[in-house]
Amino acid sequence: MVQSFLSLQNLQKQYGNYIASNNVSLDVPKGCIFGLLGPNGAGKTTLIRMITRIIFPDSGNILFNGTPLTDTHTERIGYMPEERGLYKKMKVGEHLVYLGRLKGLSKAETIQRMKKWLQKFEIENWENKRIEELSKGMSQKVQFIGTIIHEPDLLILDEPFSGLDPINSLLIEKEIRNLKNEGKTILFSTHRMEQVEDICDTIVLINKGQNILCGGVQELKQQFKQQKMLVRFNGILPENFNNHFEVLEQHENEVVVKNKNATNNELLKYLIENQVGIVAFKELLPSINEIFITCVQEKQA
Amino acid sequence: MRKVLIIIQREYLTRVKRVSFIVTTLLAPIGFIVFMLATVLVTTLSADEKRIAVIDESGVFKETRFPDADNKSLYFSYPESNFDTLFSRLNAEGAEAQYDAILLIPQGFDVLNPNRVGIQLFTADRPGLSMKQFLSKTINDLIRKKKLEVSAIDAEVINNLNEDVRINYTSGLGNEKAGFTEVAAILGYLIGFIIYIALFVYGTMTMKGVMEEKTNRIVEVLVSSVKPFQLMLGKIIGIGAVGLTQFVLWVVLIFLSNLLLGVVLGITIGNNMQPPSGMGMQGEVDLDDVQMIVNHLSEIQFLPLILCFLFFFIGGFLLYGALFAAVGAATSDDGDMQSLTFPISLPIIISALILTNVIGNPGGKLALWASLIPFSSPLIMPALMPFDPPIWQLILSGVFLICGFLFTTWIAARIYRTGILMYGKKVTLKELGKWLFKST
Repeated sequence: MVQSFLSLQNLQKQYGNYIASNNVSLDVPKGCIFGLLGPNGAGKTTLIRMITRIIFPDSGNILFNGTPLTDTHTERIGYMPEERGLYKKMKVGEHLVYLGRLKGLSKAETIQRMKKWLQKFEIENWENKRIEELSKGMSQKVQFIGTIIHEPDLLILDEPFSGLDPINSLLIEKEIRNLKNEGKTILFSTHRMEQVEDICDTIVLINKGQNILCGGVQELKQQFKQQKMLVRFNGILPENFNNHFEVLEQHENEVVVKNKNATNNELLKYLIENQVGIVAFKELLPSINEIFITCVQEKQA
Repeated sequence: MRKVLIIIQREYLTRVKRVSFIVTTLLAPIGFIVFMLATVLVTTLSADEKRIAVIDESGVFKETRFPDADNKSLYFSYPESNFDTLFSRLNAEGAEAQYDAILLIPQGFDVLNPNRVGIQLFTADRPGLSMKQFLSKTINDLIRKKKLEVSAIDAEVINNLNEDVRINYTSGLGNEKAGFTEVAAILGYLIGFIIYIALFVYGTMTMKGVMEEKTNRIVEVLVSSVKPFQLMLGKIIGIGAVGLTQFVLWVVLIFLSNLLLGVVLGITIGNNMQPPSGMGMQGEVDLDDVQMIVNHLSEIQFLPLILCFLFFFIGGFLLYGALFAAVGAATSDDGDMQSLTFPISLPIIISALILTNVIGNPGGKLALWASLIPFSSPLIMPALMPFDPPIWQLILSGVFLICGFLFTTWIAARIYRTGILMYGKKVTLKELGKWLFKST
């Protein structure tokens, strides 16, 4: 089993009568991109704030690389909140140095890293610009650099792509993957389920303060798949096709079949024997969004 | 601690480097220089020379000479020509005439009944106020002397009758110099007033700083690196240091500009304090007062005063700065801010109001209590310093102030840590009370 880098154990947090986190446990493996998913108000930010020690759980434990989380660990965590801002009057360079130094870096070290990152993002000429002169997309680049300037082992990104244009999104996504390849662990929180499918390795679904599902993206898809096959073809289907197979959707040259009783091979054999020209034949896996809805409905039922 | 230092550094440097800071810091002494120069200018300008021709038809003042004004703005002449010639020339030539005015003491003028046949002044322009005042004083003095002569009363006797009684005050601290209490009072007011202004100016700066962090949402990034308490402390100390810097710069700049004025124009605060219209007796008396103030000021022990001022400024700022920071954290719009600022402004305003009473009676009960209670002591205690308060009072006040700011900082920290992450909710005092006992 992969060693878990961050482990939340029975985290409970209550505000008055409102339970923001209800006995949440989860393990984030080392060196993966871990998606923290859930609709708005599900309790994602509460979990993140407990991990970043902005707030403290009423009960439960958090282990960081096997040891109980303490204040010293905050220097190994980089956090980019959803609602993020910068000091408008500060210059880009000095702002990044300030953020780096607050994470325990020396001044000289931070300056060196700041220059390296500005160069990497091809924005060296911004160093002496004031934050208020930057566009929203520009300041988000600066925020991203500010989050990773101290090379954290655990990177927490809350809706990192919100408000980013496609080009900057791609740039940030590339950097997230680079950081993963360097062995960093990334906790990626979002309410936009479709975003995580190709970025995240593992996800947890949070709803109403509870962990309702956790696992690898591909495993979950397999686990929740409904044996749906998509067939794209030339010509026409035999008239009695519907008697042999359960058809979910049918379009002009496309049919979605629920492959309950028959195997894929039987389906293919039938089509070939009936001289249907097959263009494409693929398994339809559920989206994370569909899995989420299924889970929530199951819970409610 | 290292992180608090980094925060202090940022709070301090970003403010000190700001154009507005540099401008206000430099403008104050420049304003001071302008004020001094204006005073000098007004004095010189009003010293426009006026020549007055005295025509004594009565012969009463034949042997007497009218004294010219001290500041050389008025001269008396005694021309041979008669009134009609001078008068027609004054009318014809106006301001160009040899004399600016004619003082006519008509035939039949009686010293004992001076208003029956009155003295008259003829001018080309309308006479100025200072000229009128000076003339009436000079003429009255002369007539009084003449009256005494006529009544055969010795002037010595009159001077004797008019002399003010001087009381010598002796307190437990030794012989009190005349006028010392007044000088101490002025100094006390000044110190109290400076601290009053400073608490508001830098308190508001702290509040706005916290609010800025909250509204532009940098605060969540920051509190994932440092504890909210460290952030708050760093901000308060950083802004307090900005305040101290501004004071020190002002003192140095005002001292330097005064020195500069002294070198360039030959005036310094000490000897420039004569009233602009410094004519006759009045001016002399004021000069004595100024001399007395300067003398007393040199007697006041400035080192303990400055140390006390610094201690109570810092203590007071920490105490109120924490509360202002808490308000900044609890609010996200200006309307809320105003209603929550009121309860913390109130003790400062009340302290300023009782300052008058305290200085009027520095040994009284009100002065004692106000100097001990930490909410008023930052204003009251330094203002009492020129009156040499007992050392136990000073120490007790200092200890209470330290306890006071530890207490307000504790309260503020609890409001702050909840408030900075709370958005879009209208905060009431009751709500704030709940935050005090809430865990994070």
